Amino acid sequence: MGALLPAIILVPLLSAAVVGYFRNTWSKTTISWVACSSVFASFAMVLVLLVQYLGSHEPIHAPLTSWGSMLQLGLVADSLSLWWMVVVTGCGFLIHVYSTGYMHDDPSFGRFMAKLNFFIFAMSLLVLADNFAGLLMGWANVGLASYMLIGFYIQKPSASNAAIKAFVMNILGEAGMIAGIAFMYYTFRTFKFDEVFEMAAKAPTVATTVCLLILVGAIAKSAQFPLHTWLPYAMEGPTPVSALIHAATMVTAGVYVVSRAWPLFSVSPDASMVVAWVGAIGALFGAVVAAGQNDIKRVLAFSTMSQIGYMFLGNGVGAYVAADFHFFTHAFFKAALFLCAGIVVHHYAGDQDIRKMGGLARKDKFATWTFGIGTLALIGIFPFAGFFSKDEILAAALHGHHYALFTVGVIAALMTAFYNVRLFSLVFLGQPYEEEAKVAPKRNASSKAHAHAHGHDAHGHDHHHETPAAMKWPVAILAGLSVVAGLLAFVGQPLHFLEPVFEGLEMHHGGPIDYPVAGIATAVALIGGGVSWYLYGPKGVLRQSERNLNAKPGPLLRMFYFDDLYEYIVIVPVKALADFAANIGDAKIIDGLINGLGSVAAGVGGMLRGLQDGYIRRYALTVFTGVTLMLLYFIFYV
Amino acid sequence: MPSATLNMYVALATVLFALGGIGVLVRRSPLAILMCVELMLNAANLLFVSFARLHGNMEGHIMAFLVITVAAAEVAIGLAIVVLLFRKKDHADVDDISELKN
Repeated sequence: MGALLPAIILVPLLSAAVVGYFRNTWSKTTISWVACSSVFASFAMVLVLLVQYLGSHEPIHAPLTSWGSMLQLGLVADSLSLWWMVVVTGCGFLIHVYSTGYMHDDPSFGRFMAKLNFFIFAMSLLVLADNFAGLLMGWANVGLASYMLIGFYIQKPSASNAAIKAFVMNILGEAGMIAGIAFMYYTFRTFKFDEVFEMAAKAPTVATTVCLLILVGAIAKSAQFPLHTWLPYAMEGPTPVSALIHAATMVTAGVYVVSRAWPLFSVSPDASMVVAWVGAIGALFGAVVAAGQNDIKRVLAFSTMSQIGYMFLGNGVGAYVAADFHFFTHAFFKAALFLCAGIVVHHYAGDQDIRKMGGLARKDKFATWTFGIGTLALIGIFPFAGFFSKDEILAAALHGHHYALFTVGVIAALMTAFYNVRLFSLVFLGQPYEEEAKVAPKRNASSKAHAHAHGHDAHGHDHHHETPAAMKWPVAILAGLSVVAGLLAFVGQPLHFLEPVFEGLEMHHGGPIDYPVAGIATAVALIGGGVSWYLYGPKGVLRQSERNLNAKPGPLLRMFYFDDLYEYIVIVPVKALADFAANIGDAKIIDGLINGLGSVAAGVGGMLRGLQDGYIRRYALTVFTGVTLMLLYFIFYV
Repeated sequence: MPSATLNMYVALATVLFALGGIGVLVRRSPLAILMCVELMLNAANLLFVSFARLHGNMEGHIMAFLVITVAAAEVAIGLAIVVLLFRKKDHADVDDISELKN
């Protein structure tokens, strides 16, 4: 059974290689079947291991190397990694299926599926590793996968720039992470989780340093404040990519690593507080900025940042189980929202500007329902999934007496409701944007619709067809999961399932619903939603002005100018340094040095040339002088 | 006037040698240079003979003989070269022989 673990990781990798190699020879159907079935195979294997685990309650190990005491790498399927893997392979599979529909008309379909498979491999490696080195390998590879997929539309310079931005910011984080892991190895002489955690209890200061350094990596990967600026731009990638990587799985790697390294974090309360505050600030920041965005995917991107902030908040106050539960529910409803956004954008010929949308409820009932369910789950309304997980985090904060964190979390919940209602109502409710209604009706209707719908779009689609089944089923399944996943709380999950990983941690064993917190959260959500309805609802007062396409970008749209800040702090000095190095350092100094050496040689040669003028008497004089000098030497010094 | 001491012979030989050397460097006609070389050789001969007289044996004289012989051979060759030079250039000026320039 332990042999299944490497297979889970390697099957998608193999599929990626094969699909990549045959991307131009195989038909799209073949590619779809190969790619999707490999992820399904991984999912099936995860389920098999899950069943085995539920039976035996023993983590399943697969040691891979035994290079003596220096490096012992292996894989492990314990409850935390199984919990994550279910989401990675499950959502991964659904999104692969969605992509076969969404990316169908793209000429580089094979390349896309290959890269998506590669991502599954990398994320699986990250989650299943039983040591920090393996985790780091997975970490780096998901960064690579993210780069490849964000920059998938290679003809678009904005896409490649976004990919570079994401990669560079992640490298920054990785530097911290590598420093932390290296320091940890230096102190503890091992990478394996069990051994490190055993030793960490006796070395709190080391643990704090390691935690803070790893946290830098987690912040970059999970797009938390302040290393969040890459996430909105990452939306340049195709929508399935945004759903899988930048909502459900890769960005949650930061949450995973903090949860996994919980023994380190629990012996260093300072690091935990940093985690919690980073999360809280991120949650609030993301929610506030999301309310000012006009691109549907950017709203969802900031929403992701905000929700991951909640997960960090949970991890920081010691409620690792709550955070992991929120990860679970979030994956479903956020993926559903993103995939549904893909359907919506489909209708508008690739235009993602919500100011130009409106009234979609009349034209696409499916999208309206699924997006609506996702939204309600995100806001945290009973009985949808988000209600349970988010409230558990808030309850943990409150019970841990972290009142400031609790308040920030509550305000963020208010803003969450606010921006979500704004988004939903601008897209689905009210009247369509009159001037340039680019909505293609769902059925093949009049030629008038034809003329409107042929527009430039991001992925070369033809829009005169209904949303394909390949796209609808995953969205429907994910929306359904958004409804029921929360009910796991009623059966004592995920607490009981994840408990073995968190042995020794004091956990709050309350019921599934903490009524005071639930009351506050729901009230706050209703207030936020209500205000947003008043402003942006179908008869909202600010609705018209919000849809003004020529409005000047305010601080919210400019994401509180963080982009510009980083531009000044980082990019301008780096560019100046590069400029200096290229034009002055390289051209003048180094070339000057080499050329100078050359001219010195030439000069000396010129001087020496003068001695060879064929002038015999000078030669004779030279001989005489030499002899005289030798004579003098012999007379006086010998 | 003191009788001739060794020092005076040595001094004379040195002066002759110096004159010959300067002549070699300064004169422009190959013939004159050859004559100056002869002068230097004669100065050396003088030294040899003086010291032979001093030590009272024949080694110095024999060496002087050798030098004269070599000088004669050398002059023969040298004059042959001068003749060839004169034939080519029509005036004998050592400064003009600069084909090995650069």
